Amino acid sequence: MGRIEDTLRKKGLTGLVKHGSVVSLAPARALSSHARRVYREKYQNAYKYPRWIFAFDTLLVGIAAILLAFNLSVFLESYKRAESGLDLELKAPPLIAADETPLELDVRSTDGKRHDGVSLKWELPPWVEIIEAVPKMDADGFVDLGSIRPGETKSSRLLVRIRARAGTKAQIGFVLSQYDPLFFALDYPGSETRLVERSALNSSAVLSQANYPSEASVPVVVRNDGRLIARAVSLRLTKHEGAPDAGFGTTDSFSIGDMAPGERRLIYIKLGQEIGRSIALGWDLQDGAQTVESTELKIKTSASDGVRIENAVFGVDGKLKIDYTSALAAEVWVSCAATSSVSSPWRTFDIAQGSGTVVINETARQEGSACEIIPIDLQTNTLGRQVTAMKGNTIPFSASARYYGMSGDQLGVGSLPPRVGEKTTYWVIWSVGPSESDLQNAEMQTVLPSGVAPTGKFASATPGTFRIEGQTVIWDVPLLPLGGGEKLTFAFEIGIQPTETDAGRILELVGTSSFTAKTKNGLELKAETVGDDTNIHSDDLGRGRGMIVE
Amino acid sequence: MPRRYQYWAALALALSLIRPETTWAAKGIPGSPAIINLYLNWQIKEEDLPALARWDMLVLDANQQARYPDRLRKLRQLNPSIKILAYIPSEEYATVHLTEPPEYPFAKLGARIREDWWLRDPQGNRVYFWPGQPMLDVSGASRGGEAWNAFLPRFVRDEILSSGLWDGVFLDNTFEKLSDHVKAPVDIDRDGRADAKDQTDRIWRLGMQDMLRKMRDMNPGAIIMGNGGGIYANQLNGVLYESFPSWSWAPNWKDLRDAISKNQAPSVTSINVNTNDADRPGDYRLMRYGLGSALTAGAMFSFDKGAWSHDELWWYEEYEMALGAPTGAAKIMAGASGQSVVPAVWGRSFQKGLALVNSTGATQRVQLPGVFEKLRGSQDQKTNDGALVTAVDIPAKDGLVLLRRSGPTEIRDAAFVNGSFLRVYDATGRQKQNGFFAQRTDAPSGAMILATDIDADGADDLLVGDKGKIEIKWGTGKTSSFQPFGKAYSGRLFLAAGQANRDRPKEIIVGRENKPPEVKVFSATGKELARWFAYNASFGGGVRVAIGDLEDSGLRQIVTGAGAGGGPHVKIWKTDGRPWGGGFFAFDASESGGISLASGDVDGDGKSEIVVGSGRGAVPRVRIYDGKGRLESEFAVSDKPLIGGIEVGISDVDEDGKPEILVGGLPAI
Repeated sequence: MGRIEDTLRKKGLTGLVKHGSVVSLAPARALSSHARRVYREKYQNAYKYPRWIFAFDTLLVGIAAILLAFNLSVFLESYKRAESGLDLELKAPPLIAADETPLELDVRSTDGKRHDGVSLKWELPPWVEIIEAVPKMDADGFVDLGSIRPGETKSSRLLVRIRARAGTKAQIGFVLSQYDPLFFALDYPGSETRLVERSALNSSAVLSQANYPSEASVPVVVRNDGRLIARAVSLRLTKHEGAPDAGFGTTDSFSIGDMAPGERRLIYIKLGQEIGRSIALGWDLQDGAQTVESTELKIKTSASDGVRIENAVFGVDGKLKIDYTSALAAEVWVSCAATSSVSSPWRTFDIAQGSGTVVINETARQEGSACEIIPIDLQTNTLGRQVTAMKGNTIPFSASARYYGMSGDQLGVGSLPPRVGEKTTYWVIWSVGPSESDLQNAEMQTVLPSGVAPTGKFASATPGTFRIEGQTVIWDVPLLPLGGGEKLTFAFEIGIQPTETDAGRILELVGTSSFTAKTKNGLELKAETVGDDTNIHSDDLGRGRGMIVE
Repeated sequence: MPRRYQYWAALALALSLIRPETTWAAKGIPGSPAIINLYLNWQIKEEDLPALARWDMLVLDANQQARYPDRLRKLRQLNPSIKILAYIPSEEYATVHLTEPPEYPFAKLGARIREDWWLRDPQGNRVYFWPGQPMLDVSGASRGGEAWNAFLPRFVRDEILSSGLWDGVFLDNTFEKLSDHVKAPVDIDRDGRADAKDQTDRIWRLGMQDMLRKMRDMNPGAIIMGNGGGIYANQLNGVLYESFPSWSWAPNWKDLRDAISKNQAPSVTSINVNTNDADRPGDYRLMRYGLGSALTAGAMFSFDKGAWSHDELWWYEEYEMALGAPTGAAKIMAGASGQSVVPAVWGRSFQKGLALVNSTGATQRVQLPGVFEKLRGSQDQKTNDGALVTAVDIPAKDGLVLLRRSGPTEIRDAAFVNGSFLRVYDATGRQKQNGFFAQRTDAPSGAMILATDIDADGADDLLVGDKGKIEIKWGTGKTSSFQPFGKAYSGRLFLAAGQANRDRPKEIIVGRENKPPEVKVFSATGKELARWFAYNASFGGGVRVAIGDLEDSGLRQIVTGAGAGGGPHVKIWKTDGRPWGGGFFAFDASESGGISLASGDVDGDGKSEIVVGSGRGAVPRVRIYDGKGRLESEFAVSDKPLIGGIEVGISDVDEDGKPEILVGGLPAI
């Protein structure tokens, strides 16, 4: 065992450390051993001052080695930095965020030579999403262009989606690689900086010049002017000076969800109690959690009783009737479509001085649709109190008893059809939505028929409180996040154990269920839905197997 | 620490990591029915080894030690828990073996059989029970030399078990009474006259008992099993009841239970149910009848064609049901009452299920002690339809094995949204059981839930991630909490737990939603150990997290997935945040609805896979990648786009030793 290993052993170095040390020190040991042997054989007894001469010679050899290494290094660097012989041209239209943007990089041989193994790696900012690449891009981001003959042009084309604010500088980088017999691959990096000019996903306040009353809502229209579905669009309030409670109900952000090309959405920023005569609002519009637009808005506040909406209801004929009182000539601003593809999803109606009714034909609106109505005093350009008219003052709400789930999963347990003396359980599922906005303080309840008992099992992924009070089943939900277009469900399990007198009958499982909630504007919504019986009408697999058997 | 203590400490640590294994878990399924295969084919094909290795116990011809020693070793490699017994008749010898190569055990045995060991009739002729196989005299008569019943135990020791290839020996035809099997007159005392049956039977029984005693003495530690002869149960590890029930179920089943109660440990008493030499592997009723009989009695089970052809590889889905240990003795559940062993529906509860057998001649309705789930099978789909039941009708001479209903409290080691509807799949996309509402009542709806043993104290702890805060409900009853991203963040948290360093407790890995993609690793005490941005810090879509051992090295890796807004980009990290491997897009790069993630060994190769669920707006599907980002398999869970995306998790819900893939976020209705 050599001295190095002895030393390592004494120092307690073992395993990988020992192995690494031995490997790294071995060449040094060999070199010094060789130098000592040369010294003994050729210098020790050949000169008067052998040590000085040996040191001088060693120094010369060292200098020669350093010069050689330096020259070699300079040569290699200059070789690597030599012109690639390829010409690159980036073609890109003005960059627009939240829209599909084509990028093209043309590579042409300009030195009259054939270039083999040419590949290209795009180096794009992290907020640039590649939708499509021609030719295909591999997992490491390389596009293989193959060989490029003299005069030939090859292109790499990308279709990208940019998620950045207007004014952001996008550094579009690329690394061109080509095969070289000496180095196998030589890289030629480059980049160009382009400006993101605007965003196809944008927003603006609809009544930006108006004076707003206390606790008003500021309508903001969000537009998708691009050609792509905008994913996970949201509006985030970043500034609300003069209106400390401003927001979207209980949160500072509002999730719109996906927006189709051309789609418009009306979102309302609730101001709350203002504390000054002017309010500075700011919000970020986000596409896939990346901000693509930041907007600031200054609005003045002013109390105005010049015009007000006395009542706004949908009549039995389906028409929206708005009763107003106005001291002077005024307007009513009406929007009945939170989602629309028309450029301005609202209308204004002139109203004369005095009292009157505006009738709008909205018969095509579905149950649960909401119309937002804002009166405008034209003399002072001041808005009156906003009113929401809900068609039917309800939203989709249903109750169904299920033995099987949608995809065939068995949810209930026990005989089907139910059997005398045996317990059969079902799940009752309340379904709410979809709706165009979140709801607050929701309560769902039903009184179970006698003979039907809740088992105590319940389920919902939406935060809330489930209670059983005797035969009454209640679900309280502080916030129903329906704005994303989803349907929310609240489920609980019930059981029946039929007696002999039930044989041959169909038993009621759940009676009428009621639903109440409030909109962001404080409008109370109510809905009722019929119950279900052992024939479980909405259950495709279990339907019709409700007659009790012995 | 002095070096000598280091060795003791290392030894103590090593011993502490040794976990007791269920005795019969050869299939890797803890608590599944114990099964034995009497595979007496003279050939063992190489391609059949994986199939054979699935049985808990094999009985193979003793000659296989010379014919296929490597294949016997391969069986043990494939299944380290398997027990292999050498088949050898206790009282006869097939003369055909005399033509075999001399190194074969049966050829050696034949060469050493003395003429005076043959059982003879008064005329001096050899006596036969099976054609071509003259019987040997087990009585122990030495006739001037070593007796057969003394020679055979020595032969087994010196020529069979000494090979090191066997766990024990299966002695065929350990008859209780010679007269039950041999109708011809027998002359044991060699006086030229037929001996009285009672006397012959008594001598035979004493001789057999003497042989078994010598067999045990000469082969300590070996499993010794006999075919028949419950009277010898106290000397044997097991008795085989071939062609069960051979005459009547109740007395046969009673004998079976009695034998098990008398066996030397470990008991391997088994029943063989067969199709009477008919090729009917699809006779599921008969198989269930036998399996139910075995499970209720506590016996091992074998199902094949029968005595003329014990060489089948018939496999049934019931063999893979993880029932766990029995929780009580069998009892009558319908069709009769009382404790006497009479034809009835007998049932026996297990930790994870229930075994039933109807030994009556009529269909019986059985009220079950709770909610059970039928097997979701592909063989007999009418019976094993996956239904949830509280009562079942069992046809005459049939059986049924049921599993207890899995629920949210069975979800361990996988995070899920409390109150969501979960479906359970295997790695191939086969739905393993009915979907269920995963609502734990000890946590708020909508919270992220993760039940796992964080502090390695043997009791599950419950992590509840809700409104930016992690609350840990320790198994001890205590509670602690911390806010991984500070008080300013009150949104949704994504959780994973696993060993991120070398201490025993697990670490908690956390990501969040709609915020910069920062991953944080916390100790069980809430101390921050590492943090890093998995993606560009300006990306505001959040990050999903998972932890697994992607290369079966004992070291874990943290896997991240980009939240909504980014592409479906998966990255792999060391547990301190240094990159471990490359990243990959789990779905088409244009899918920007975010992804959900889990990591675990879903294909049983020892390495964790990365399971990815599709995000918002996509057609919900699951993809399974290996640690290098290579797609192993994928399946769709619906054909309609889902607004909210799916949540995937990995948990051994049915405790069969193979983790399942949980898919949440699907609508129940």
